[in-house]
Amino acid sequence: VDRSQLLKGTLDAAVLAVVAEQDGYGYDVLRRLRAAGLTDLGDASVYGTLRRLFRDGALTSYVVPSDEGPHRRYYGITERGRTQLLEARTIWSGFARALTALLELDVEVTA
Amino acid sequence: VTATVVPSEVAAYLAAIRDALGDLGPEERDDLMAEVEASLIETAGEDERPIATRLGPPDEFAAELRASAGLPPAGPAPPSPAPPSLVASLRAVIAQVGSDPRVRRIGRLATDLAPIWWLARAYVAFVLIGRLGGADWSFSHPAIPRIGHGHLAAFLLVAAVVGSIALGLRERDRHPPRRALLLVNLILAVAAVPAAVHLLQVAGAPAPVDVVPIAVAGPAGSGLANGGVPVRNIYPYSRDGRLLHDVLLYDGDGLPLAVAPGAADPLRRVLTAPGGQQVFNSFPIRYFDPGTTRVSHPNAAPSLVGPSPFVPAPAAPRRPAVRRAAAPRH
Repeated sequence: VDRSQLLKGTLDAAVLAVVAEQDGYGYDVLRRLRAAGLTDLGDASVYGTLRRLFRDGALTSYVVPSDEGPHRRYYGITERGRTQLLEARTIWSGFARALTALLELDVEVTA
Repeated sequence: VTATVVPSEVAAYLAAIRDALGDLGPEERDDLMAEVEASLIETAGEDERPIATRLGPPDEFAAELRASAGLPPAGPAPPSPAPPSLVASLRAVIAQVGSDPRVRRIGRLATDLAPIWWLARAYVAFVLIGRLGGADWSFSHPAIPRIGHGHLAAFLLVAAVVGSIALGLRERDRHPPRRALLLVNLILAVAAVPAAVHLLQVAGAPAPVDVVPIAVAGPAGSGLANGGVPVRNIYPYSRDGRLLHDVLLYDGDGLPLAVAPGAADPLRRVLTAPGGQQVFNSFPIRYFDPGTTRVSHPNAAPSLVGPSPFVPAPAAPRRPAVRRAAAPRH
């Protein structure tokens, strides 16, 4: 299984889930995704995904001034984003169930 | 506010990314760069390794950024022509939209349905002129303003319809359409909104010939009375508290409950039945302003005595606020 291909198809849902939990700025979202176990996530893919989800109306954004460095652009989830996340959840749980059943069956056959 | 010091290594890396995004629109590029800059400057202090080791070559970083942002891969930077003028851009957009087959189909449909608009705009023009001329809505025909006598209004309405259809037929093949006509259509389309709202209200209100049978006790042969006091006027209300107009009342024998029929009061507004006879059992009785045929306060009513018996009209049901539940765990 190519992990990077899996990530590509599910990154939107992962980003939406992280932002739905709590608003966050770019690097913060990246850090939380990595902390959740997606350690091989590319920085650029997260930043690009945030901009695209924002452009599509799934996220809102606002700027919070920071004393330490540049202003931080926070992202929050919109109603549309929540709908998208809900759909992703449904698709993923169905997919994961199916694949789990398939792969476990395979284990039994080869065992 | 302290100025942010950007390490030169990071600045160079950012510049390289910006170059690789050179073919994007300035707004798109600036948005992406703002995101990347803030993050790279923040991470620069956290990791001692060279930035290109951590993040890969700037070209690859830019390519990943574009792909995840749903943007096309970098092509050769297009020659940047002088930005087209606003009018030219608008024309191009209109031409592009206009050549779309779906838009063309809608356009043909609109042409076929245009006669409906011709009728509608005739009505709207008639209403607009009547209302701007100070005419109130007619009581017996609430969909039209009261212009002169009924015959004049009918004639004007027919003339407006005929004129609008003639105009529509004459102008329908003219390309481009006359600007003056476009302007008139635009004004009428705007005026059609309040006219339509009025029509909906009229359609929703009870018809002026609603019959509400009520029992009125009084000494026989002495007109209407309430507890021995002569009744001079009646103000009927609907259950939800709206004052009704021109309600016709009849007694248990089907006889009109007339108040002072034939009384020589020139200011009393008396309805006329289609057969021409005068109707004296319509309530509330209204009186014209002296010397006119206008009722200045058609909604006037006495203040009601006693507790309000009205049932408020049902409001839209309120949805309880439900917090979205946390993510289910599988």
